[in-house]
Amino acid sequence: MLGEFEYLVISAAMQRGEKAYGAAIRDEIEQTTKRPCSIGALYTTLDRLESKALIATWMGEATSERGGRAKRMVRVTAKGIRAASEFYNTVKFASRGLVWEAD
Amino acid sequence: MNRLVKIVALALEAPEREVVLGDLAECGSPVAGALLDVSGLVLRRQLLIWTTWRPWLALIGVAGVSGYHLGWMHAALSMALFQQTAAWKHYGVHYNTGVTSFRDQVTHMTALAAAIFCWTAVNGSLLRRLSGRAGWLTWLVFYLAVFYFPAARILSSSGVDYGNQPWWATVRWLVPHSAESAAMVAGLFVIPFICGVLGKIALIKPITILCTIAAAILGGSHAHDLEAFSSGTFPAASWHNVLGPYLLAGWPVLIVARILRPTEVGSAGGCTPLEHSCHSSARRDDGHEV
Repeated sequence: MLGEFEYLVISAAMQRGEKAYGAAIRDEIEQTTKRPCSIGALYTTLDRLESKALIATWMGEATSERGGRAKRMVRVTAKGIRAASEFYNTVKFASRGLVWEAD
Repeated sequence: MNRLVKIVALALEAPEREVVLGDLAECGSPVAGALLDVSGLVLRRQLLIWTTWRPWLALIGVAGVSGYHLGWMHAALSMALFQQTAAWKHYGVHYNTGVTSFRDQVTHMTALAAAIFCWTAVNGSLLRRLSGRAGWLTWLVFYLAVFYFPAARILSSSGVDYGNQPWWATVRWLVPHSAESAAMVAGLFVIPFICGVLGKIALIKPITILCTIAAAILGGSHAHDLEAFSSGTFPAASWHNVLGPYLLAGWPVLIVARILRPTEVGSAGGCTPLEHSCHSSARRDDGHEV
């Protein structure tokens, strides 16, 4: 099963759709979790997900705002979608009937 | 982009460096944050390298075991050459122990020098192929194993008192002290190591095996000559004791020649998933992959 951060990365990539690449995914995760996301964690996770064939990556076009440097584009594969769905359903099932309220 | 960040990013593979620096430029990260980010990624990459067996084999097997024995061979050869050159310089004669003939000594030294040259080239080649991005560490350990540890052990066991010197004073053992030793280091180690790293060892493999055999036979022969010369006072070492150091110094050639096939070896240089993705993107550009 996916790890928590792996799920966040796949979700962020899905949210960004065709425009999913390193910096955009990082931005999406930081906006969602309200926590900083290190580039080291992001890129090693992308590599791990790609090695499991849950995502596919390729070098995108270079833009001037990036100093003429290329992007690493990300696309979630069908296997990745199934893995994320399984993770989500597991969390949802594990949370059934629970109300998260601290005293 | 800050120059320091770019320097740290040099530790990353080129495609990944491009992407990461681009991301940081796009985000407009402050210098400290960018430095922390890049350093973190470099650290993770270095740690990931060590989750496979290849850099461990390079570090322990090649740099450690082979390098250490290579260092002792180098020390023995240096000592023999020093005796000959000093005797020639001061007295105009060659140094003769009476144990073996001068011709036999020269033959042994030549075989040993050729073996060291070949072993170093093979080790350089294997270190590059096995270490990948961890090369900076395995090469450093190889250098220390060859030049520092044998010298440290000889000097520490020679009875000379180094107790009043700080430990860092021993760093001077890492550099050659004379033109002769510098030439020897360059000829026996630097040049063949560079050849090995550049992959120019196709001819060296069979020569290495021949040199190892020659050096071992001549070394064993010298041990028996010493036993005969001393009328048994210095008993000759058994053949496995004679052969052991040569095998431990020269075993990497067996790996290069036999165990790792060229394709296997070539992929050991550390092609990251990103590089694979670059290859796949090239295919995508050709329209053969979605």
